Amino acid sequence: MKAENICVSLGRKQILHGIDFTAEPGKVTAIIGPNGSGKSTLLKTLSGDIPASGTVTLNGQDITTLKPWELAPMRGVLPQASTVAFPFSVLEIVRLGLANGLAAMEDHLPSQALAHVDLTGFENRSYQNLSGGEQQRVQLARVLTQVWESANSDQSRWLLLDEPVASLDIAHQFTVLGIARDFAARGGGVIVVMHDLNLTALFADQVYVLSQGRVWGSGAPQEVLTSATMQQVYGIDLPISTVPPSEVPFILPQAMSR
Amino acid sequence: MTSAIEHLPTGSTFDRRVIARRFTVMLVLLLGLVSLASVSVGASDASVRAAVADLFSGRAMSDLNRVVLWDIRLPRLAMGILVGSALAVSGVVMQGLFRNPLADPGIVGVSAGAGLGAISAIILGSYLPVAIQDWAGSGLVAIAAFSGAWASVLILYRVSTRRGQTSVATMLLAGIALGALSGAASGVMIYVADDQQLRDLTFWGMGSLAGATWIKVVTVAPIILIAVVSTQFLARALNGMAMGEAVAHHIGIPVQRSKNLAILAVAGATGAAVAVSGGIGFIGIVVPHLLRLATGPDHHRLLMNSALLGASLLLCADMISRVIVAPAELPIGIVTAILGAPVFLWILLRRHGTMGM
Repeated sequence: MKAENICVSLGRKQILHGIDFTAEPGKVTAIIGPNGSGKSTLLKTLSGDIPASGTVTLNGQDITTLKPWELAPMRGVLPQASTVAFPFSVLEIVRLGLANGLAAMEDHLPSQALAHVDLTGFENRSYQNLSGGEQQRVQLARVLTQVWESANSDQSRWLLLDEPVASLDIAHQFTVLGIARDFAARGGGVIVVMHDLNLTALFADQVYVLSQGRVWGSGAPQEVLTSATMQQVYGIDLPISTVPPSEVPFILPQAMSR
Repeated sequence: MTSAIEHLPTGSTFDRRVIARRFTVMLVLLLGLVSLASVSVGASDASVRAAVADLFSGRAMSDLNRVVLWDIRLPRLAMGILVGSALAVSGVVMQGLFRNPLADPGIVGVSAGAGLGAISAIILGSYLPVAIQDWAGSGLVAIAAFSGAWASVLILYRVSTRRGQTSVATMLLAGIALGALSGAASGVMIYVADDQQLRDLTFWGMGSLAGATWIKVVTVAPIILIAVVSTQFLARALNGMAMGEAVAHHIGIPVQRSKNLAILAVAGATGAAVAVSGGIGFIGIVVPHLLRLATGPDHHRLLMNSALLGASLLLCADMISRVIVAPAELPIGIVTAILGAPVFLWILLRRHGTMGM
């Protein structure tokens, strides 16, 4: 997946200023940055939700030339939060991930996807009565159902996740990011917007740092997550440490100099 | 990802798809029964059994039976089925489109536009050239109501569409404004109306199937059938849009095209229904709501089941309207409101007035 010179304006305000972005299948690519830096807008541009100048190509095809039903089997998108207007059951929501016509053939997929996100037995519960974290995992199960095979013979499939762990407890944060890693390991591509820098360091192969609608830097976590980034992008003085074996950087908020 | 996972039965009796399918069968049977009752009940004592016996024995039907059944009750039955299904399906589509269980064609000004058209025809019709009056005949009110419904939909659509994207929220607000404007224009008409016209338009507003003729049935049937059948293809789109237009787009739904189809279908079905039957309320809200309680909000069966139940309910209301003050007739809009409003309140109270509808 590749994006070149992306500019997006919402109303009179320009949100993204000429972003170049590349993500490869088999890798987890994280997008980080302060609030309002344009992370979600970039993800929406990549999923084809909002019109942008510049080009976004997915598996070599310009996404503006693809119909929604051609795009759907190539990439699944998990939005930040989803409210549902009617009392759908969990199973009915996850089934929406099944493409038209596949519903009968692939009827076992939704329950398998629910098992992956640790929601076995939730099929007949009402979505509206679940907690925020459970709802988020149901939505992930729906997205997984949509792009179940992370790669088929000729092309990779993509997961675009917007803050997938924001409302989850620590155990399920690992569950969900483990699913993302696993998806990439089997040949799919994962693009994930993150706030938690420690989890980003632990799970991402490549990190893009956005600041004020521009790419401030990109690279492996240990290249990007530095004290300089903390100071210049987030505006805080916080030392970055590393855990020995693979030099995974970590941030200890307690080390914040007051 | 296909690791050792317990395979869970999804086809259990808890699956609401199965219940919804059984509902379809039951509703078809119900509609058959209600239809039979509807042609049997009425002020005249024409007999369906005698007519059927005549038909099979090759005898000529008695004149009374022929006139009452063929010219009065059967077109009325057909009209009831068409109008009931049109109103119920329009309700489902509007509620799905606006993501609100209380939405109905009334709130986007379709009904108000139709009303203004009808009132204008009743009051200004006599000023038209005699040639046009002769040509349009008693259909003038229906034509005007249909045009009014379409005009208001087209205006709304223009107002709420920017760069090929229709904003559903803008449409809702513009519908309220347009409804108020239509109401004011109708008010001016009513102010200048004479007593007979006032009576006509009051009765039009209360709705009736009494004016049903085969000509009217044949005129509106194609419009309503096309609209009702085409909405069946919107099921997955409406399910997706329940989670917002972005999610619908993500799962592969052509959102703008679906919205266009939904708006066209509702304008066609509601416009045609209101044109031939006047103002009949509550079918579009109560029917989808009851079915959602029974079989869930999945639109795959909801659309068809609503059409069936809407037809049955309207026929029942029509029978009550014919019987309760026989040999006179109560306007059917009064019956649907008397039956529908308490049912609706009961549903709200039972759910403690919370959301989650």
